[in-house]
Amino acid sequence: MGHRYGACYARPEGDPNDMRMFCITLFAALICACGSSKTKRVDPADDDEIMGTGLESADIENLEKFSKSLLAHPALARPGGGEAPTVAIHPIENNTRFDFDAELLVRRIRQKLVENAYGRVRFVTRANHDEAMIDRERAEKRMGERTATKTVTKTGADYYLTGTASAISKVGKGRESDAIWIDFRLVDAENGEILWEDVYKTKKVGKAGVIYR
Amino acid sequence: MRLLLLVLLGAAACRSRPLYQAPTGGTPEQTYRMRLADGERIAEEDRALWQVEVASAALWVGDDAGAFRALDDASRVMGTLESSAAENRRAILGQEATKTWKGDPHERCMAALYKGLLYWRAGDLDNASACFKAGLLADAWSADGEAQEDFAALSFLLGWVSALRGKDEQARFSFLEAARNCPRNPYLEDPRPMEDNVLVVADIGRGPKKYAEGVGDNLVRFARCPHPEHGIEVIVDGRPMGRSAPAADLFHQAITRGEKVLDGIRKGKAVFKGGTYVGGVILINEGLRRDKGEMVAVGAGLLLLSALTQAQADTRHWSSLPAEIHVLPLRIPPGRRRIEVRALDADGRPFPGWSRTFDVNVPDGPGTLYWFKTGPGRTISGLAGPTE
Repeated sequence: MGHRYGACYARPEGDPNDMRMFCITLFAALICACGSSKTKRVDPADDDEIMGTGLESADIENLEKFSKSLLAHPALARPGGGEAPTVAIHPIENNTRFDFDAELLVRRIRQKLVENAYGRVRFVTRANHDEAMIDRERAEKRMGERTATKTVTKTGADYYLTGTASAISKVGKGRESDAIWIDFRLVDAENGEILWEDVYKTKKVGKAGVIYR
Repeated sequence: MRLLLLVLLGAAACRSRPLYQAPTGGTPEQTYRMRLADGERIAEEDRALWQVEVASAALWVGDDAGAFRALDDASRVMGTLESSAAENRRAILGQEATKTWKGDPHERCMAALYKGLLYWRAGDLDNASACFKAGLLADAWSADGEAQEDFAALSFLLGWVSALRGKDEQARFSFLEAARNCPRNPYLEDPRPMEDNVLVVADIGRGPKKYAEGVGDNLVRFARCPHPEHGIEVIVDGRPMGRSAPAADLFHQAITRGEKVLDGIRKGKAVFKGGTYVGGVILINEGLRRDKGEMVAVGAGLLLLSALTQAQADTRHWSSLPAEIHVLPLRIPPGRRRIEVRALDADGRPFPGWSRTFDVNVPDGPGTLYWFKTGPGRTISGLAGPTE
């Protein structure tokens, strides 16, 4: 029988090449194992491998697109070149099954609005989104208008920007799906009129791994 | 030689690993310290389990922030049930407990419940509501179970928080669900969150223990842990205000999780393990009797396969859970109050010496939440003070 190079089974018993082959295999396995744990830098607007069906960084980054549409609204153009209107940004109301940092959402939206407004609009943030806060906002505005004649800084907002996150969530048979809508509204603080509205929507479907079903 | 090495590698890969068990000290403070110390040596697969055990200990010592951090980290793991192909392979071919612990449905419900309570205490009712909803849906993952979304305590808490948020329709629906799933609790019938300004939520007793039995320990079983206390009584400034009533039985929640895919796989592995063992023994016996070396070798191979087949169920579980979740709505006049919490026996009598007093400042208006827990060593823990 001819000697077949490269065919391990043809090597005589006890050949040190067996151990070399074992070491190479082990080394290759270690390389593969190490390679899978490498941390890499990705864009926050991109999806990643560890996705859930809730709000992800990509969704939050996509919310920025509202800033231009909102700032283009005529209500936010300086009427007669007067004082810049003030928009109070209220927290996003969360009606989904996902707990999230509503302040982070507000901060990202505010940053983009400020960046694109070039001082044409002033922005302030508010801690609550309840009716009492909106009433106070209206009262502050009226107070501000009165005090403005006495050259006191106006503190009340002309408009407020609110948002509501809602979802339809389903779970069963090892699968889950979440359709999420985040509605934004620009409301006149004086009369409650909705001047601008837009929605961000996303739907994600997940499946439990076979070992968790 | 190579075959032997592969077998050794396989054996090493399939080697059983020790399962994490949370330590318990003499006092809640000692338990918390011991569990925190485990963090440096915890296996990645057990990290979420360790975090929920830490969260429980943090709640016992009144560390809201510590409990929230641990639950928040754990919920990132428990919140998604996806798994990689490698993880599937390891858990199916080898030991089931090599998979990342994400808890059974009742454990995911409880993680969401505690997180919701902590959000509520921090004044974030939106996220509290989100957690209670998430908890109810976590229960629905047990798709083939006898009962899904029947966790009355979560429905009740969602109803209460929804009422506080002015979501009256959601509140009405959730209260109806709670009453339907737990008809014996009188407090679930006609709750008045805007009138009863304080809601007491109490953890009573010790939660179910998960264990394995059957061929190769392939069957998952739950057992009730005995506990003498069956409820609490709340006394405010010396005046009895009411006794808690159960809104969730964790043992019932655990045993109605339904059949899982891995349950069937483990049964198959147990049959294979038994079959290869018997076949191996017969072949070796016959081979020795007839003096046939090949038969002995095949028999030995079958015995090895039997030994390498790991059919045992994953019995890791959240050991700090209570047996029952109780609720007690109260109407307490605002201002500084002395609240005494007493543990009650099965007949409703207070245990002598098993009580604790909390000095609180009851705020004006609805939505105050107090959480108490009866524990081993006749202790009572509580979150009744202001949050940070």
